[in-house]
Amino acid sequence: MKDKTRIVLADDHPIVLTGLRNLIESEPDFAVVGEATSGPEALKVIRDARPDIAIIDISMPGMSGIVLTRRLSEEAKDVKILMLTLHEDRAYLKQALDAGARGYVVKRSAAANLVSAVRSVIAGGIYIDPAIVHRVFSRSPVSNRVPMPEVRDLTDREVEVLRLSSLGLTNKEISHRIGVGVKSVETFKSRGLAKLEIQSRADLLRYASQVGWLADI
Amino acid sequence: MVLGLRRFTLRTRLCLIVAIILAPALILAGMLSLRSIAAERIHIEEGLGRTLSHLSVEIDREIQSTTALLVVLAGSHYLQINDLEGFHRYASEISNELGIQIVVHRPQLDKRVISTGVPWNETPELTMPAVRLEAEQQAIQTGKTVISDVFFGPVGQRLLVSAIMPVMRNGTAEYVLSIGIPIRKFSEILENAPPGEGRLAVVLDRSNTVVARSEKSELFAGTKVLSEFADRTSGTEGVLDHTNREGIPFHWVFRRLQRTGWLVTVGVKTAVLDASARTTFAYTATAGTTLFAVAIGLTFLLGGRLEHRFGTLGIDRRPTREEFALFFDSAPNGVVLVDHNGIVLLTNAPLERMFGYTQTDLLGQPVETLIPNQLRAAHVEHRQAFVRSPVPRVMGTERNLLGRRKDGSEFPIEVGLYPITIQTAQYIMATVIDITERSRAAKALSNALTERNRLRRHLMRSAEDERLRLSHELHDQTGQTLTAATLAAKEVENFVDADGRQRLTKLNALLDQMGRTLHKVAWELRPASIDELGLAAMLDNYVTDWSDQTGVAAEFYGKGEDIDNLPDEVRTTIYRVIQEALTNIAKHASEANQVSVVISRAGTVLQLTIDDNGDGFDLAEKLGTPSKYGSLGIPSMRERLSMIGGTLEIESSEGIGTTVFARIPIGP
Repeated sequence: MKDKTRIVLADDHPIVLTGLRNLIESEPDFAVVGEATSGPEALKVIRDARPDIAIIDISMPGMSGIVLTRRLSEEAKDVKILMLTLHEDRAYLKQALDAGARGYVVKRSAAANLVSAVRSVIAGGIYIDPAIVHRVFSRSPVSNRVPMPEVRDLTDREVEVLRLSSLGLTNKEISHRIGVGVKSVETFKSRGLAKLEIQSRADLLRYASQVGWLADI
Repeated sequence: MVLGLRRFTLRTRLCLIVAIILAPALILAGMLSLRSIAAERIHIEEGLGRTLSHLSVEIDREIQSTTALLVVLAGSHYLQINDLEGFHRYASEISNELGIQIVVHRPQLDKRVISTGVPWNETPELTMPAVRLEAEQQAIQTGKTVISDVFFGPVGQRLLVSAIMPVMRNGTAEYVLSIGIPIRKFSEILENAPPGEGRLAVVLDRSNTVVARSEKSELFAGTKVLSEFADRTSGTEGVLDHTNREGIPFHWVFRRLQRTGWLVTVGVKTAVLDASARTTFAYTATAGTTLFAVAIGLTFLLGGRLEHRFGTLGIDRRPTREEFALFFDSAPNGVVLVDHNGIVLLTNAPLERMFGYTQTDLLGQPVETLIPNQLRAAHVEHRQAFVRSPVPRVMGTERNLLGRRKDGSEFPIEVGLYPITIQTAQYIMATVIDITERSRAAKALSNALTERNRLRRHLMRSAEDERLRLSHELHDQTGQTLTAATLAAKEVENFVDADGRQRLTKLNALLDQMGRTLHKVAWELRPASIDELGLAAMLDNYVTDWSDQTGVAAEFYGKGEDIDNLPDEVRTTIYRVIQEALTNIAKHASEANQVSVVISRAGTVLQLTIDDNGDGFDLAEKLGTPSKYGSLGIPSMRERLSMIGGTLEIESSEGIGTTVFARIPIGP
């Protein structure tokens, strides 16, 4: 028995739980040592059973899988956590990994990938479902390109227009505020952005916060 | 009287009124002209009087100077020494000088008369005319100078009057000295001071014989005047109307001279005297009659025109009194005229009906009578402010103004104020509209709108709830069942041969496809992550996913903003607006390669700013086309925002891109 990998399953859907149990137990070296259908119950079972690995659903009554993972990371560091979920959002994946999960499997690929995922995590690795793994390495947004805070090249008008724009004012509002036409505001803005090599509003806000334009919000 | 006049036509009435007004004026004018006639008559009579006085003085002076000469002659030493020849010589020189005749004789001694008109040697013995003799007798008896009446002088063969003076010695008349004055002297006096056109001056002696006349003296001198005339001029002075000797009617003034007893009279032809009166009267009458006729004529003509136009209610003229009253009382609104102290001067029937008063109830009352008690003090202040700066304005449209009926009930009104200045007096005309119905309708509309918004919101929330429910169903129930199915299929693998496994692989692929679809549908209905992970994390994920799917670089900026604790409705709106904006970019801004989704807070306003660097669009063109407008999902964005008090602004310019500004008020 000691050779077998001890596993706890937590999922609020009984039929899924049954399917999982059948899947796990079809592997000769895997043993299901506990099951739970809610967050709190899962916490209790895992604390008591001290499994090698817990396969946890994110959406559970009483306590979400992510909160549960966070608790277990503190209270049962030796228990490895593998998330098994319907959620394919990157946000869940990120949160799950941040909370301390070592694996993330989406349910629709569980039949094909769960066993290898469990083996990867037991082996000390991290398993991320191939169905969503590309999202971890999704194109890096422009945020890494931080423009140089150089205001010197800008005219006073350009600075004023960019500052007001970063505060969220429309071109029309800026036009009223500084007393020039909307077309001129557009011109000042695009020239200023070009000088700073800024291409998006997000970068403009980042720049604005660096040079202190947002301080007076 | 006015009521009586109503029987007549307007034209007749007007003519009567003009006649009634003009008649006293004409009478007054007549009286004035009569007074002026009387004044003119007095003026002429005064002129006659002045002439009379002047002539009297001149005649008296002539007599006096003659008398003075007599005194000188009487005192001459020729008579003292009885040297009559010497006296004759001396007197002849004087009489030649003066054109008179000097006569002397001794009544006691002889009949011989020494006359300057006769040489000394040819002294005639003449019979004295009776008039002359009579006067001499009187002079001798009284011892005083006597002026004789007119007589025909036998020496000079002309009409004379004599001034006779006795030269007394020892109580008797030693000599009688006389100077004969040709009456020519007197007519010269009259001729030298002519009394004027149409006037005649006459001097009569004591026996009413004409001494002199201002006209035709040579013809009438020495003749007697009519006895009737003589009778009526017996007093010392007076006035009379009498014909002259030629039969022409004259108006005379006369005076009797004291020294001689002669009568001086000056007359004016009655025709001349009356001429001015007649002229004045004629002028007055003519002018008066003409004026009267013209006035009546004009009134008649104009009255006809007016009558013609007064006949029906027209609009191109000033209303008549009756029409004005009709209009005033038929006005759709209540009208009240007050003075600057707020005292009611005039009300129309609608106003009286509106407030349940009769006109007499309100006249003289403060206008605050029409206002509920609790508003009166404020109204007085308002009214005084209006009097200070009177500009027409409307009250009651914005704030609720109430009127108070006589029975105390109150109702909403709208009041228009119009200042009226007549000379220096300040009045206020107020129009009053009962807006009970309008208020009721406005309230009903407002209620209906509120109800509509409530229903819409309810509908939207229901839809959102339904999506959430569906999303849960698909995800949690169907999704889990599908998971169980794939797991079951996996189990089957152990019991089938290679051919069966191959089929199971196909089945698994189908189940996987189904799972993906299920997930996508559920996610699009409503991402469960909004509730499970928080909005900020969800949006960050959402934007990244969108970027992955579209291949457009997109970034979410605003993870630091605390938006997870906002009300569910607000969070849902934020998500839906961003979802809609990104969908628009994917659909319409295919050229865009840079998208930002920014959430920032400005005070108590949360700003969502989504911009792309696509080609942008002409907003007017796009928004002008309902189908495209609709396809942009802008109405649904705007509606969702308005439900939570938010606003939506879109700026787009070609070549630069499009920016969506959504602003949502949130607590501090």
